[in-house]
Amino acid sequence: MNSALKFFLWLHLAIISIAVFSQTTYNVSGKVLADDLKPLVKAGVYVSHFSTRVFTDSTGSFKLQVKPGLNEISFSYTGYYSQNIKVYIDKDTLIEVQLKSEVQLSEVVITDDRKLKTALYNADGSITLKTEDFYAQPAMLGENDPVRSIQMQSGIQSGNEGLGGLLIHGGGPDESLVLMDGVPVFNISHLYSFISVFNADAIDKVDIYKDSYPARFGGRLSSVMDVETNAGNNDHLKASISIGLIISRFHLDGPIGKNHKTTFSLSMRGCYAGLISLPVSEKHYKSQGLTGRLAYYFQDSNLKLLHRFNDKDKIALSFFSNNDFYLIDRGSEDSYSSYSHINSYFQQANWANYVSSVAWTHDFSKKWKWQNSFSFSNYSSTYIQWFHDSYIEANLNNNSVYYTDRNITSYLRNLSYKSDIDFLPDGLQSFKAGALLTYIDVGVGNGKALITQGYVTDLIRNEIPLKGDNTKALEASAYIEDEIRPTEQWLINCGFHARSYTVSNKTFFTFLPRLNIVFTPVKKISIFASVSGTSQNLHFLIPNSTNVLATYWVPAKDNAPPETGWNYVMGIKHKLPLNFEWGANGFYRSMKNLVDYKDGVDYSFSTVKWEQQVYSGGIGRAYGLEMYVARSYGKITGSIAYTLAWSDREFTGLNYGAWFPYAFDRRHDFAAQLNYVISKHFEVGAAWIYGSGNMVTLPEQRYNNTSYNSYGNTYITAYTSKNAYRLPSYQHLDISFTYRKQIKHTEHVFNFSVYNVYNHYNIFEIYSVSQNEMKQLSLFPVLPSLSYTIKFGV
Amino acid sequence: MKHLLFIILTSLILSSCEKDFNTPLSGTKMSISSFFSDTSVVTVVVSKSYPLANNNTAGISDASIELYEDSVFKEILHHVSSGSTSGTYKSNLIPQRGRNYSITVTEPVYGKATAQDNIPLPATINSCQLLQYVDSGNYGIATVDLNFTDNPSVPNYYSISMTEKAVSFYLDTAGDTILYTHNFFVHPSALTKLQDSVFDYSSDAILFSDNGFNGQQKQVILNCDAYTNTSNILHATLYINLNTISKSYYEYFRTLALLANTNQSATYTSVNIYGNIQNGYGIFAGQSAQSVQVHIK
Repeated sequence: MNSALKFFLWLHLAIISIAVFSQTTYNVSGKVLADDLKPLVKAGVYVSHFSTRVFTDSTGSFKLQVKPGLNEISFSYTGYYSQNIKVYIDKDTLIEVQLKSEVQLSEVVITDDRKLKTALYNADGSITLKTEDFYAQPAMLGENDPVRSIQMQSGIQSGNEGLGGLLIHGGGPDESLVLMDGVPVFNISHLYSFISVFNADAIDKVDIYKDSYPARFGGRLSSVMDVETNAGNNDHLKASISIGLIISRFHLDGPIGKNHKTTFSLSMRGCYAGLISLPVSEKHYKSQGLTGRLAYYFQDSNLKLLHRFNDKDKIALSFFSNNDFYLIDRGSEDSYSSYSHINSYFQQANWANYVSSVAWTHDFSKKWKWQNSFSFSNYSSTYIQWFHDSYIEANLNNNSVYYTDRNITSYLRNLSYKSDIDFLPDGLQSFKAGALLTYIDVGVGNGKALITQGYVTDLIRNEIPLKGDNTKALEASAYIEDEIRPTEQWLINCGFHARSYTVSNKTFFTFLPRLNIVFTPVKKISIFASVSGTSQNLHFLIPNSTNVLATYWVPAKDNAPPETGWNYVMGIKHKLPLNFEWGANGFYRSMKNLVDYKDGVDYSFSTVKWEQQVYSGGIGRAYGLEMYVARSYGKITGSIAYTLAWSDREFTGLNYGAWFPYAFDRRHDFAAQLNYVISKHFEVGAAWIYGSGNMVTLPEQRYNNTSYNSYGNTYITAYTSKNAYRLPSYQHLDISFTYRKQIKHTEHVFNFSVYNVYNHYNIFEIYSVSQNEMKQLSLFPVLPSLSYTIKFGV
Repeated sequence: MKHLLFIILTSLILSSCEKDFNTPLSGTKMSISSFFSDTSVVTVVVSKSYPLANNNTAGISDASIELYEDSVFKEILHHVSSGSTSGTYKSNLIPQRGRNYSITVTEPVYGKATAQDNIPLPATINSCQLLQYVDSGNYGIATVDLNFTDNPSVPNYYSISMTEKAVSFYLDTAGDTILYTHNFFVHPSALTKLQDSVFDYSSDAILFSDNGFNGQQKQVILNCDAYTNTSNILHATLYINLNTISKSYYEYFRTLALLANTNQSATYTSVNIYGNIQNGYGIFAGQSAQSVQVHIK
């Protein structure tokens, strides 16, 4: 290109630029609202021939500059129908637009039908579930469990009889941060994970971050479940009462006072299975020539109060508590010619969460928001167990006993102060920053054991205090998160999360970068990639995947430093016609500083501190592929999710230093659900899940012990190598039928559901009944249930 | 309705819950046990493993065991036992220090199992002296200072055990003095902290590694009860056996000690006993033996 031509082009470009920038423009501002008049945050506003796109702020407001004349402005928001308006601009203009929900619009067309909705798969890889999504799942025991809805998603293990928590991307139950109104909940299971502690009545929405890990979150290696509770509607009082065979619940929400500045939501739930199981189990054991009983109870309560002082200030108080109680008592008596042998076993477990927070939010302007909160979370558990062996003879002096009694308590308390600032300079950028200070108090394995043995005339009692550990630590973290939309095709969320953790005069620092990029090459297709550094200052000790009672949270310490990890995820999402969509992604996570029990340690009878019972410094890796197909809206909705995953660990002291499968290495995980609204009164649902069994170490053979003289047993039991045996698959099919009838402002809902229709024996626990025999315990066989719910103020 | 409800609930609870769990069956394999040293011929004990639900075991007397030294075939071991001790095989060869040994055990039903290990080179014993001997009348407590140099560059494992040889006398009915010799196993304890130490109760030995003193001199102070219990013991000698054991030997007894500690209780994490038999269970482990003595009376 010669220099004359270059000069001509530069001159041409300069003239055009001057012409453009000298042209007069006008401000167009306004709001984008939903059909219920709530502001839509980050809705897109696009001026077609001006190539300008902005996004609304937290109040739904936007502002852009357009040239004079006729302009076509488009408004769009996920889950809502886009709207184009043509407007002649000759001055600064204010526009307010109300977008119609896709669901709502369908209802306009077919007014007498109900529509269901499944999870919302966001472009950034996160998943949002709202209250109506929970009620779209088949109810079990009359309960629409939010966690069960979450477990139907790809990459999330579809349940696990006995062990609660979320198992995401090959991680353990401890590796997902579960927040309720911003406060961690450490045990999310009722009824040994049959249902979660989250009462659907009390929940407004749940966000799952399994593919990306925004910088505002921290403290766990794998993922985040962010639960926001319902603050109550500000229109009128609403109530519902649900009565089931073993679970009942009550909910009330609405405004307080005449000006409706205060709203509240109260939800309570109780399980009284023990009232039925006690007499039934007693009869059952008696029919087998045994004595025994089985009981289970739980309760949970949620209360949230929200007060709006004015347009700029509001305060929210949130409380949650749950309490679970489980008891099993079994005994037998064998009579011989000269004596009787009486054997009894008793086990009782209690666990409870208490979570509370108070949060004050102040809007400095439409662009600046500041939230401060204090919170307290307490998780406690008590485990009581005894074995009693008695030999009774005619001569009372010869009677002998061997009793072992154990009583173990543990707790984990967090007291936190948190401050967050949100800044939305324009619709193209969202900036967040904040800090969190947490005082941590952990008590592990406190208690005592009492051994009583000998002849009744000369009993020897030996009380052994267990080597519990009480640790206090201070955790401080700060983050900066920036979300930018440089063009219509790109969305970038980046930031960092920094943490310091001080325990026993030792401080650990971690600096954790986060990046999530979403590229939308064409409408309805998005490709995302994410990398996240993560850390975790609490370890979770699990003896094996089939013994759920002896799990402990323990604090990171100098000899068991905080766990760290890196998550890499890349995937694609594609929206299809007829409300179908599919997605697929691959994930890889590396982990360091993992802990695991040593071989040959007593995890329930700790005569040494937990630190001496574990190996630290383990490394891990989890990787796999996941995919889903879903139909999110319509009379028939459903989803199919499949995950293929591997999860391995390596410790110098375990398995002779070789890699071994993690206990929750689930190779295949499949979840399918289907919901059909037959009419406005009747709907049916079905869900089937199938997952490869957990990995365990089991005895496989015995052989001679040539050194037995001093070791007692003449044989040695050969075990599989560490976690080398895969348990039988976990699976169940559930179906649900719901009939609802609305009479004026009262709705009656009858639900009949069957859990585990084909009565698959999912393993809860494997245990030895003798040296030669093992049994498996399954908690939940085929379980039909019936519930009735009445809702007032509908 | 109430009746129906009760039937449903009862059936639910009764149908739940407990059933037999069959442990993974790996099939019966040969179990092989051999601890060989440079002081005696190689002895191998072969038997069958058995499933958990069956406590029967039996020695295998029809196996063919080939012994190799540094991968060179040496001989086929001969079966020397019968009846309840069936399954014991012996060689004519006495292993040598610093050599590798392997066996191939072939049996018509259970196929072929192999194993290999070595006899490590011994440590150099620099000195061994009695520091103190306290005679309390019925027995005495001996304190011994053992000093040795670890072989450099390779990780080593050691076993220390102690025996006592005492000569005593008695008067027979004719009034003549009769001398006789006692051999006692004594139970040593180490006053020096030893890395990775475990106690092997089958041979009353302390096992430990050279972790922390690889290639260096090591001083170990040992205590033991000595049997100088009566005045008719004329003199007594303590033999301190410092055996250099292979890693397999150490791992086998380390895991066996862990297992002994668990008492096979359900509340303990499992212990998989170390084994180095390919296509079988058990252990084939070597050691080089050496001994020093101190006079205590």
